[in-house]
Amino acid sequence: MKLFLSENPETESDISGGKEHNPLVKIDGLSAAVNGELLLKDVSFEIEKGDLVGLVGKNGVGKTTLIQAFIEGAHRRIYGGKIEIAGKRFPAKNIKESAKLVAYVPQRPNIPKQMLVADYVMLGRTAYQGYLAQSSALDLRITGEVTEQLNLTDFAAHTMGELSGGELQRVVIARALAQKTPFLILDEPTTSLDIYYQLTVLSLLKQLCLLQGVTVLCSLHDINLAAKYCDQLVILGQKSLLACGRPSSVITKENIQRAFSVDADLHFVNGELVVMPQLTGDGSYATDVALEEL
Amino acid sequence: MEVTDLKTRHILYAAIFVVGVVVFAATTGPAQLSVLQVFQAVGVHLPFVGKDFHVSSLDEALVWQLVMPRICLGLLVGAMLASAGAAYQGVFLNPLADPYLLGVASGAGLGATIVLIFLPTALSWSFNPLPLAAFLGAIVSVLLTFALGKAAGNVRNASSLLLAGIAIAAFFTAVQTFLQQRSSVGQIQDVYSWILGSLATAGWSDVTLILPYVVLTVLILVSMRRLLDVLAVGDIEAQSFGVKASTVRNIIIAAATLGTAAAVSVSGLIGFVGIIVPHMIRLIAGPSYKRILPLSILYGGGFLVLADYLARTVLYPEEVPLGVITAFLGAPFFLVVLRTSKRLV
Repeated sequence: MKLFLSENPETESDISGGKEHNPLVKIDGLSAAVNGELLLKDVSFEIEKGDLVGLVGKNGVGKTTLIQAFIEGAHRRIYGGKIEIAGKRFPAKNIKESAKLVAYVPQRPNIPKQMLVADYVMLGRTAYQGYLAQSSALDLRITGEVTEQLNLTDFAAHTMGELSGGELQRVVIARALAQKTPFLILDEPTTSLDIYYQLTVLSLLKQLCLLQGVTVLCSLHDINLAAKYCDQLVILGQKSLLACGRPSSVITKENIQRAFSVDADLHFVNGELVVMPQLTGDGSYATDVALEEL
Repeated sequence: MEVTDLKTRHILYAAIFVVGVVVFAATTGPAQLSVLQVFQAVGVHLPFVGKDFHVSSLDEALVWQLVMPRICLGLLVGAMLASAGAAYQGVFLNPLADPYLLGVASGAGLGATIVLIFLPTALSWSFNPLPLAAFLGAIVSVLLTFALGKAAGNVRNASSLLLAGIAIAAFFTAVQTFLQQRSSVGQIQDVYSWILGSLATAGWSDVTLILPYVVLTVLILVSMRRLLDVLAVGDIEAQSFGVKASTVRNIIIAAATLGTAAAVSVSGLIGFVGIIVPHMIRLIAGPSYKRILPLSILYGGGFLVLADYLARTVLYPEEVPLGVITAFLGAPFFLVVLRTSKRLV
């Protein structure tokens, strides 16, 4: 991942790791505001094809705003900068063309409880369907494939209301995959899941990147999981880009302190990077003090 | 993988129902004509088929001037009310929405009341102004609802539109009640029987009057059936599928309102069809509008022809208001279906 003009991010010298430099997504000088309040300031980075990219940062620093820059309806908050996906300007001239570039999995999707799982996955094909046409053979083949791929075939005839949280998450991802876009964005896909499903979802995303060449950007809260699974991390701090690069190079004590206001120690456990918040002398965390002062 | 697209068998069942109801209603009227006689009476008006038919002119007039226009109008009005009801339920994500939600009923009611009270001789004019007045009243009330709803709240929020609809309906109904209260008993009865709905005065002119509106509306609604499913995931997610939810909502509401206003202008305010028919289809064919919308058109038409058959026969020679039949029959039947069905609405 290459980085260009931004406030003061840490740059990586070894940008492409031997791979051919082939960015699928280019974000250049993105700024956003709503009602005069700045949400995002001059954020620029690139994403290589087939990478799983984690977006981390404190609550309220603009992660969701950055994610929603890839949805046409919410895009009007963006007042500066530009986005390119697969060589095409986003948003495209036509909303249907935009829907063929990016698929989106929201943090809390609206689940129509009465809808059949098969129909819900088919919603992902909307941009490819005409007004009067029935679902085409291609639509059925694609939805069938993604349903099978996510182990949902047994649920196809169930209604959405009958599924558990982890199953629903997979169905929503299946819907996004049915859109057959080069780029997939997910807003905190692991936040409401237990540790088992967190690992399941992340390894699924990793497989999609490795095996199918899908490029994924997802916001994550668990920095250790992000470090383990992501090819690249984008750290946002105070509405702007703080650091961006491979996890091993951007997860530093200094960056953790700047991004989360938490003093942390970095350990290696079985070769994996682990971030541990520091305890103060009396066994409490540094952030506890702030609570007592309230 | 089984997707709930509309299948040929669904259309086949619905078509059998509609044809069955039409043949039944045409042949079991008070005139006691045989199926053959009815076919011949209709046949003489069709190109190519009817050359060799010999029907008495009385039978022919009875079938062609009284029975057939009434059945055709029933099909059109029923199709319109049921599909508009289904469309409103999808747009407002509310199972209780009906075609009269945004003030169509109160506006049409006021328009009709004004004609019935201030132009009592109008019904004998060569040009009957009542459908026009009802149609204009309906359109004006919905336009006011939109203007008020947009002024009051965010355009993307359907609930401000709903509340505006309630306010406009209350206002128009108040004006109508005031006018009614200042008029004679006979006029009150006229207004009241119009409000309860009837196809008794149906003629071919009514059919040709509303046909273009119904065809246009039905075409638009059918082409939007997939997008009605998409609306259920909310505006932002709909955008990510390439669907502009607010535009889709406006198109559907405009089409459904235009069609409803046209139907109401010739038939009065026939209640319950717009709720009961889509829900029955939902219980039988599942929750996807890909099926509900096209099937509402067919079953709605058949249902209203059946209800109208009862309206003119149960107390023959007197007519029972159609709205009374649709509710009297529909409500208990609906409850039975609801109770025996495992699906939730």
